[in-house]
Amino acid sequence: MWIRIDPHSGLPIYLQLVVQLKRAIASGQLRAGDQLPSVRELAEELTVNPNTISRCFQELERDGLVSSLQGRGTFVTGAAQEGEWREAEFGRLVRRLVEECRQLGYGAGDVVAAVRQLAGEEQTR
Amino acid sequence: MKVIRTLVRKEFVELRILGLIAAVVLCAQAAFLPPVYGHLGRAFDGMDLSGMPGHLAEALRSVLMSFRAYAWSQWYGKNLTQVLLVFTVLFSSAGLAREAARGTGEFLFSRPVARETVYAVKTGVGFGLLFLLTVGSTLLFIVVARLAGHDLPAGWFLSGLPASLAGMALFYALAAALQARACEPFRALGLSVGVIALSGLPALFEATRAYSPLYRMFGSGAAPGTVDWWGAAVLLAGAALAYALGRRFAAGREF
Amino acid sequence: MKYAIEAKGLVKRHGSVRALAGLDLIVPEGSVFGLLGPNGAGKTTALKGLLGLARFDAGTVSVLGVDAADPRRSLELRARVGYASSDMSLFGFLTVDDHIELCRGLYPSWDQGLVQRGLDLFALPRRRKAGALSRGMRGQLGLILALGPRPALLMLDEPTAGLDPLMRRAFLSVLLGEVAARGGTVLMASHQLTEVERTCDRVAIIHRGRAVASGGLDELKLTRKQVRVVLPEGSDINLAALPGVVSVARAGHGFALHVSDGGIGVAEALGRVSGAIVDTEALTLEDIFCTEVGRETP
Repeated sequence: MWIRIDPHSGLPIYLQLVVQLKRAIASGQLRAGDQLPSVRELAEELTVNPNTISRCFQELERDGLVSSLQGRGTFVTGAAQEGEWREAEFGRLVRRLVEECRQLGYGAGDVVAAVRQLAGEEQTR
Repeated sequence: MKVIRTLVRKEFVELRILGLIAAVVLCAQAAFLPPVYGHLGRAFDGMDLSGMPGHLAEALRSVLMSFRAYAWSQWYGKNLTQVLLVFTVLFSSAGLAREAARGTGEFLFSRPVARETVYAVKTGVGFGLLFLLTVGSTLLFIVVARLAGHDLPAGWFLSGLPASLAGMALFYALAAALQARACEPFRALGLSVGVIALSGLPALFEATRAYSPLYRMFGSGAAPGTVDWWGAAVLLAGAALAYALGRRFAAGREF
Repeated sequence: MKYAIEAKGLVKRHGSVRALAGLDLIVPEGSVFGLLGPNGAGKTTALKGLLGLARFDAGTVSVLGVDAADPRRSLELRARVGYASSDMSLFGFLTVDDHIELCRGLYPSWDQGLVQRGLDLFALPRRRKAGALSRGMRGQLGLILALGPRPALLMLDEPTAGLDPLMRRAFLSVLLGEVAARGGTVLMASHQLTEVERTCDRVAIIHRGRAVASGGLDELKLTRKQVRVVLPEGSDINLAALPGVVSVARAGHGFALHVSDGGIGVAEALGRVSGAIVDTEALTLEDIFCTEVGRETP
């Protein structure tokens, strides 16, 4: 199983699962129509609480990335391939970056300047 | 029913070695008697009574022969009772105190089985086994003796059994109750021996000896061939009381 | 939400020692519940009482909707509860198969298929007497026997003590797949915090016979945080009095706070103080455990 769980992380396990499944979908490792393992299979495989797996699936379903068909299983949706949720995820990441930089005493402007500089370096390379 | 059958099996396996030892001891004690009896008979038969007047010698011989049967039955009865007392204490040590001390009480009572049931099966299997071995070995002895050609008075051998077995029931129930109460099996074993010894104390005095359970169990006051039904009944009633007490101890015990 | 276990104010005395001093415990149906606490905190005493192996001196307790303190209903209850403890003994004179037969005969229902799976999984020698099994094997057999009746509630006392990491994984996998994923409830007392973090969705930390923290593990992790604070020179803010603060420790020129509200209270209060630096960090279950147990309870 390619999913890695770090029980010692402060991040709740269901969120660790959400992040990894989202990454798998974004990278194309999981595609529209693919079936996810069942809650029970994943629980046995990862030795993680079934409720935690269900919670992760619910989270993904709320974001429209997967849909569960009664009695048949959980599938990656067509919408997952499209960009909307990725934009939302991107927005979340940027907000977190800005928040953490603020704690170090840098404002959003400083972040923008630093990102510009990085982009410039990438272009000249 | 399934539960009882399962528990009975477990107790049988647990008591199998002790049971085997008891069977060997009881049967050996029964089997050794006929040769001894025969030897005694030959000794009396071969006694030189020629110096006596004929009719006196005849009377003495008949007294000696009847004494032989009396001694034989008394000897057997007392021996049997002593052996029973020892095995009563040994068998009862497979009680609740042992389950608690070795940690198997937790195993047993975390499952859907009542302490009262386990207590009943434990006491029942242990006592029942000893009961059957006693009656069985005594009957075996009588049959073997008959086959060996001795016309022994079977009534003299059987008449002591009711009181013996009733006494065993009393002491078994007391020992089991102590095991149900005590935290440590050896302490319960010591207490059981103490209780048995104490119950023999009244036998030391002429006036009180009839009230000693041990005295009645040994059948010391009863004439040969008569059954001490009263004594047996009182001993059994005591056994029932002791059993009820032990059952309460078992129900209240923690594991 | 229905509760598999609902206990209030449990007290148990061993002589003059109070093993339980008013323990409250709520275990929702379908959860895998971790009972944590230092040695002697009262975990084993609590489990034994819930099962009727011992009696509580005070308190009310309902297990699977049955009054667990009522001896008349104890049998009915134990038929639906599985129990295994690492220091529970097996019968040394009985073989592995004998033990299975014994337990099979005591329960009204028994899933021999599941037991067989467990036997295969752990590769237990079925004809060997329990007295000749290794400690790990005895533990495995205990667990298999606890699963046999397909209990609605499984109580485990240090279930994986004595198992190697591979066996531990295998066992937890069976536990989660066969009990938890089928709607059963698991209550396990454990010192293996990593294992608890992985498998449990709820925990309670017991200390000196009382629950000092309990709740959903995810919620606990989202709300219990460490906040590092550096205050501007000359500031006289009493950090311990800020909302959500559990404990305050000096750390260099600053402070390390443990909070129970995700750090929101501290962030809001210190947001108005210019020059204060506030940094929130995640805590592991072990951190939370040590904070709760290390804190002197008055």
